Parts: sequence; structure tokens; C-alpha cells
Amino acid sequence: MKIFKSLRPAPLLILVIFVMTGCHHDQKQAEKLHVDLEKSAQIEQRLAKHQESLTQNSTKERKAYKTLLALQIDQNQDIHATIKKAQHYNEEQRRTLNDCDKIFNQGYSLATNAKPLIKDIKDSKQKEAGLKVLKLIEMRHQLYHTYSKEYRHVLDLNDKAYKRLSGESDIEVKKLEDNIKKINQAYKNLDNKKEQFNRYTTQYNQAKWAYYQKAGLQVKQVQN
Amino acid sequence: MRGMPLNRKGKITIFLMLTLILSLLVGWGTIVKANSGKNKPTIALIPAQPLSSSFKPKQSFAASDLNHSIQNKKELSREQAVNQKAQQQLEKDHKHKVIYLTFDDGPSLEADQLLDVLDHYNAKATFFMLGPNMESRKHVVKRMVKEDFGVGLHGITHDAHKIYSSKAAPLKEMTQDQKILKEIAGVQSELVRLPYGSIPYLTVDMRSLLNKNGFKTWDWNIDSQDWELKDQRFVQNVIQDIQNLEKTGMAPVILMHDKATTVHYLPQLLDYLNKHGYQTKKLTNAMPPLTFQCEGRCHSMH
Repeated sequence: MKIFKSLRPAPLLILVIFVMTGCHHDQKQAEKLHVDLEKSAQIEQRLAKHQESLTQNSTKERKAYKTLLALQIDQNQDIHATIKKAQHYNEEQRRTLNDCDKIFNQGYSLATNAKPLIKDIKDSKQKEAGLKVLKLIEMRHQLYHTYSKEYRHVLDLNDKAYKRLSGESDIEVKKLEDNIKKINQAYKNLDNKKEQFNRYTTQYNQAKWAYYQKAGLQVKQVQN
Repeated sequence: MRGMPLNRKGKITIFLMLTLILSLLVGWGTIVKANSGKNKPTIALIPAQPLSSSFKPKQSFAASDLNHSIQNKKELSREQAVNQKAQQQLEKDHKHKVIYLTFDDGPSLEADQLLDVLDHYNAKATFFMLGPNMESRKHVVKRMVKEDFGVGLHGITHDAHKIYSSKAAPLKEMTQDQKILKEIAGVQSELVRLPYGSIPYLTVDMRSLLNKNGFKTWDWNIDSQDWELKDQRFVQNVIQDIQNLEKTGMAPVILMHDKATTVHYLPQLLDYLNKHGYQTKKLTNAMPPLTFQCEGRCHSMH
């Protein structure tokens, strides 16, 4: 029994072993987390193509509007054809936006798998870094939905404008002009939201990087 | 060994052994960790996507060609409808042998004399006057109003390059002229006659602006050409045109000028009118104006 009394430094040993096991546990968490977050990012990569399509169709719609404004009221057929074209590009944007929403939501739902994993992290610094990632996931999610809602608002306003323009000689200029002003204001709002979203995205990518580093994972950035 | 206490040497030995084991464990752990880092495949960080869609503002509709053509169409339709009413009015007037005498550019130095002639024949007429002339001969303007002649506006400059210089220029001149007339005679006239007539330089935009501001643009259906003939031939000219117009069933609206030769030969015309049972009337704000229709002939001076 005396020998055990003499083994008083043993708790220190146990502590070291415990800490080492904890480190190992956090690293495992980080690896799991990495899988979900990067899968989410991979899904989001499809957004780029859709965003390009949104810009293209928005440009085409604006060009059709410009063509329309240059016509004369007696060019009936051209007016109708151009309005139809513009409405088509507007509808294309709506469809693409729906796809963007699906992609973003899919990515978000994968990213949110990280929640319980992060809560389970033992190391306080890693946990802090993980929580920052989590916070930015939520911020991006919220902002994306505000952006998407505003975009739909623009498309609704465009629809309204083209319906008004279909009225030809009965066009109420003041109402149409107010409509155009609202569209241009909504475009500004969209640009502001996009910029804010992109700032959050940069912060999110940096936060992910920082977290992986803290978790002792070797990270290599993949180009878009 | 059992129950046997360790001496100081033994305790030190055990402590050193434990320290050694611990050091070995920590060292091994570090090495393993380092090695595992070296061997572990590098993980990929796929950046989350930014939003890249971009938007440019839409042009104003109000300033567009399309809107311009829509407004023109509306204005032309309105003018056409008013003109139809004017024609109907002149047809009714024709049945009563009504004639409208109008004199532009006054009041001249001969305006008093002109009024005397008209009074002598108990004839009514309408005067489309220039602002500066009204200011120079206020007493004649007051006399016209007092004697129940028609008073209308002819602008300020009588310079085509000025009065047709911009969309708002005719309105500006007529508004100023209207103010002058009101200040002098206390009457608000909506009757306007554009210098040289509303064709070709009074564009649809200008017509629309005048109309929106309550002005009624009067042209004529008989041009005496007194401004060109400068002698009594204008009387024969008018009589001929009255006879021609008779066939169409329209009452005449005769363009003349407030100037010396016209005043001088006017009695010949008034004699003719009296002899043939015509009655002269003045134009009023309430009448639908007889305006030359654009029919593709209106264009800007520039």
C-alpha cells in the first residue's frame, strides 16, 4: 500500500492523458465538420452559374425595355413583341432565382449539421472559432433570403411595368414613372444587399480557414 | 516487499521513473501528432460563393420616344375632336350669316381709327395683340374691352426664331402677354393666335402645353393677305374667299392685320358684308377654336 501512497504524481499523468484524448476528440469533430462545410460549399459553387444567368437575363430584359422606349405608338406589333420578350427574360430570372434559393437552402441545411458538432468541441479556442463560423452561416442565410425577397420584388415591379406598357395609349405615365423609380430603388437595395452578403461570405471563408487551422487541420484553398 | 515502507532513495527512484514515463508519453504523443500531421492528406477549403448578379437602372419612361409618340397621338386626337366642334359651330354660324373678323399684330398707331371704322359699321371683331404694343397703347386696349370687342393674345416677340425656339417658348410668350392684357384691361383672355399661324412651327408638344394651360389656339379659314398685298386688292381677295367658303357651309374666320392700309380699305369690305346681310361677331373663350390640324405638317424650327 505504501507504494501507492508514493504514486502521488499519478493524477498529473491522468490529466495529461485526458488532455491528449480531448485534443484527439476535437480533431475528429473538426474533420466531420470539414466534410459538411465543404460539401455545403461545393453545392454553393453551382450558384455562380445561376448568378451569371441572372445577370444575363436582367441585361437582356433591360435592353428589351430600352428598345421598347425607342419605338413609336403606331408600331403596335413591335411593341407587343418587345414586351413579350422582356416579360420572358423577367420570367427566366424568376426561374433561376428559384433554383438559386434551392441551392442555397441545400447548402445551408448541410452547413447547419455543424451546429451540434461545434457545441461538442472541448477546446475553448477551437469552440470560439467554430461558433464564429456558425454565426456567419446564419448571417449569410438571413441576408441571402432578404436579397432573394428583394429580387422577387424587382421582378414583380417589372411585371407590373410591362402590364402598364401593354395598355398603350391608355398608359398612365405618372404611375408607370413611379413604377420605374421603385424598380431603380429596388436595384440599389439589391446591390447593397449583395455587397453586404459578399462581405459576410469573405468573413465566413476566413472564419472557416481560421477554425481548421486551430483544429490542427492542414488546409489548402480550392479555387472557385 | 508487501507492507514494507519505501525509504527516501526508493521514493526518489519511483518519482524519477514516473517522470521518465510521463516525458516519454508526452514526447511520443507529440511525435505521433506531428507525424500524423505530415502524413494526413491536406484537406480542401472550398470558398463559399459570393453573389455576382448586377443591375443597371432603367431609363425614365416619361422622356422616351414611345411616351412622346403616345402623348402626340393623344394631343392630335384631342385637337381633332375640338376641331370637329369648331366646324360644327361654324356651320351653325353660317346659317345665321355670321362672320368673324380678326386683326393681328396690334394695337398699332391706327388702332383707334380701326375701332372708329368698326364702330361706324357697328361691326364686331377680335384683336390678337402683341404685349409690347398693348403696353405702348393701353388706352386702345381699354377701349376695345369697353366697346365689347374680342381681345386675344399674339405673343411678345413676333419673331419665329424666338416664339418657336423651344417646347415651352410659345406658352411662355402667351402667358406673359395674357398677364399684360389683364393688367391693362382687367380681362383674362384664353384666345391665342400664333405668329404666322400654327402650321408648321407649332409642334404637337407646344400645342399640348398651350392646351394644358387653358389657351385656345385660333387660326383662320380666310387669309386676307393684307400683309402681302398692301393695298385694296386684299378686299377683293376676302370677298372671293367668302363666296368660295359659302359653298362649304362654313362661317368665315378672316385673318387681317391692324395696319394702316387695312384700316384704309376696310370700309369697302364692311360695305360688302352689310350689303349681303352678314353679321360680325367676336370670338370668345367659350368657343371651340378653329386650329390648323398638324396632319404630319408640324415640325420644330430646329
